[in-house]
Amino acid sequence: MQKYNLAVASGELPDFMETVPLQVYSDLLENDLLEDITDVYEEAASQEWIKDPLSFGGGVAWRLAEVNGRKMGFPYIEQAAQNDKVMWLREDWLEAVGMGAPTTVEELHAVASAFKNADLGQGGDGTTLGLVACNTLDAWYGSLDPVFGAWGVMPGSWTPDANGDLEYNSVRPEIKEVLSVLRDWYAEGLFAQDFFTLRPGQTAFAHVGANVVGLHFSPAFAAVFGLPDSVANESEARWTFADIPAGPTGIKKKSWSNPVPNTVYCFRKGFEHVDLVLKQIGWWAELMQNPANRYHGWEGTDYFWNGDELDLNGYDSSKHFFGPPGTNGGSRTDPFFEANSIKYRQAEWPNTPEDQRDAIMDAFLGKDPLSQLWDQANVFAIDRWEHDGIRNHFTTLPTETMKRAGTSLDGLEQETLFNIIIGQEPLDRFDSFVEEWRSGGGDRITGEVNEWYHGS
Amino acid sequence: MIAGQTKRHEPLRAYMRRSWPLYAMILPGLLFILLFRYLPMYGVIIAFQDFSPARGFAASRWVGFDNFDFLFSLPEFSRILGNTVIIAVLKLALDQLGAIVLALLINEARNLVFRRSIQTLIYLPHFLSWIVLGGILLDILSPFGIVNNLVRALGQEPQLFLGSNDWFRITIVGSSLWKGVGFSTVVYLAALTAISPTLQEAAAIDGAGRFRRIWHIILPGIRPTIVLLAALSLGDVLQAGFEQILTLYSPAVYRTGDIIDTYVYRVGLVSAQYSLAGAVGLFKSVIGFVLIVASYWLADRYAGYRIL
Repeated sequence: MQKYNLAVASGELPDFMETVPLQVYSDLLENDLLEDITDVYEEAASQEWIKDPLSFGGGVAWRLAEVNGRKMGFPYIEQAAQNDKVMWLREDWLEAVGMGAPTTVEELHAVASAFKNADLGQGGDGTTLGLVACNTLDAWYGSLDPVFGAWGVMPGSWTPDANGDLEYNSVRPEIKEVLSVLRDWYAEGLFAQDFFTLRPGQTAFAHVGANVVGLHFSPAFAAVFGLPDSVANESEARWTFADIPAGPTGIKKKSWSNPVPNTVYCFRKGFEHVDLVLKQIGWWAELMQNPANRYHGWEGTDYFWNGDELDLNGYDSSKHFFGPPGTNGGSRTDPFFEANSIKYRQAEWPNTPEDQRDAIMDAFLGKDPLSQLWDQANVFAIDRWEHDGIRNHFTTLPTETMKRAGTSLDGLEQETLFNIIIGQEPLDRFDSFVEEWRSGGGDRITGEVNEWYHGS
Repeated sequence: MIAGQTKRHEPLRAYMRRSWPLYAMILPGLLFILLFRYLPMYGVIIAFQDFSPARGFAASRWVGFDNFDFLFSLPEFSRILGNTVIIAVLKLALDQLGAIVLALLINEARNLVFRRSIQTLIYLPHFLSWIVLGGILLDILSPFGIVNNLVRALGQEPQLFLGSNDWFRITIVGSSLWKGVGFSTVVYLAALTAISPTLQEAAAIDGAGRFRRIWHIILPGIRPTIVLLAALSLGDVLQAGFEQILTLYSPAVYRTGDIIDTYVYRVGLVSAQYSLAGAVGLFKSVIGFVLIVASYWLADRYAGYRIL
């Protein structure tokens, strides 16, 4: 962000800018510093590898890059369900307490309590936890978002109410019900006593990796982040995943990862070679996404040759973290690329005749159990992505009142919610918080958000 | 002083001809300060603008004192200002006090190897970043960390040192003392070496004990250093330690731990507000400037201390 601002302020914009933050993007737009690529896109972009894939979801891909019908940038696409949670469970612990994977929040509580009471963890006596939580309620790891989702609400998100107006979920009455549950769970010691001081990523090591917990809501990639530490510390640890549990009224929801995040690829006004960049994007997209060749992997990206040995892990992935769309570092044009790729590996590759197989694909399929688990959990999450996600419908720059009062209201919200869960404040503090939130600018923000929502 | 006396006797030209190498040696430093300390001050104008990088300094809209109005009218302003001052003052006071006591203790130790190694050991945490130390502190202060295990062994209730409003400031000040006291101690130790051993010996012969010697010889000897460091540190009264608090705090301790810097950092997360950050920086600089001038005046008046 600072780099971009420096480039902008010095008047030396690069020709092509990747992942421009929304704030900078709107600043550039306002000052007419970006190239309109509408016409050249029509001419130069590949139909099959750019235009078609980018038309998913009724054109949501273009929600930022297109301004008043003109294409002012190129969309940045993330893979579907990137951060959608599944329920990770210790299979061996379930067997030890003689229970199955929980399907409701009530059963979740029973299993978590059983794990804790049986003190199955690797730490000292009485250190086993029931469930992972961290300093963010809707976090990217060790999250509680499926618990809130079981009541149909998501803290921090804006969703349409019965009248079709957007409503801020953190002040909805259901939140109070969830808080009362979480508050009991905390009092029972299911969460770490200091969970609210831990960042999401830290729970992967402090809780999951340290084997003091056998239950957490994390994305599919937990199979390669957190779980490997767990298995390294305790070779008998067997992890499995299951669907998130349903709430008292049967609702089963979780936080939804947006495949079109608030960032855009941009071109400097006056840049002559937009067509070449688009061609390159199409070339990369075809390379990665064409079913005829994508499953074989790419030397230097998916594998490399270590003498005569095929090496899947030895390549330097840092080289690929940055690059145009379509490369490993950039996004692809199809949010389902990864899902299709895994499904192909799982379903179709075993049916491929022996003589048509190649070493790389076999090597992929022969990967260690955790990577296999990652693939399975990934497809599982993607299949439920459309249906189970609670979408945050507010997807633009902060409104005027948000800029003025947002931090203050946000602080109030975090402070109140966490202090209620840990018992520092009574449950009824929630009611006065809602009042304070509304009068402290929340009502005005709701007005502004709906003005934007109904206007767009 | 000497230069001034000479000037009265010889004409400026002759003086310059003789002394120009000295001025030439000052020049790079002076240029450095001008280029990197004074020139960027031009940037403070963004505190009075609605700054947008695309429009630049010249074309951004002027808003007068709007950014300051916003800062002072924040509902949390008194809370974050209070936290900032309390944490910063406690840190400054304890750091000075701790450093003096440690320096005196180390100075009294006879074994040179012991002195050197203690000096190095207490100096060591100074070189670690708060990000690293934060991780270590989170671990040792956790409910089942080494500190709470000790507390349990002593038959007490374990405490949430980072998660409770009763403990957070104490933890912050304590850990900052641990990290920073070594540095200040080294400065005092240097000052202590300047005290003539003959004075101490004379006092000893006159029958003064260890504590009387510290009180009547050593402490008065390092008084200028104490006054100087205290005066300089007064300018930091609004520096409560951004990195440290950012790595250690959580929403549950906003009431006692949220400082101006962390608050403004969160404002920046909502939307990039360069102008507000600029206004906060300027506000803190002005307060710091006033305090430094005031403390310098006090130091001159009550301790007879002057830099020039």
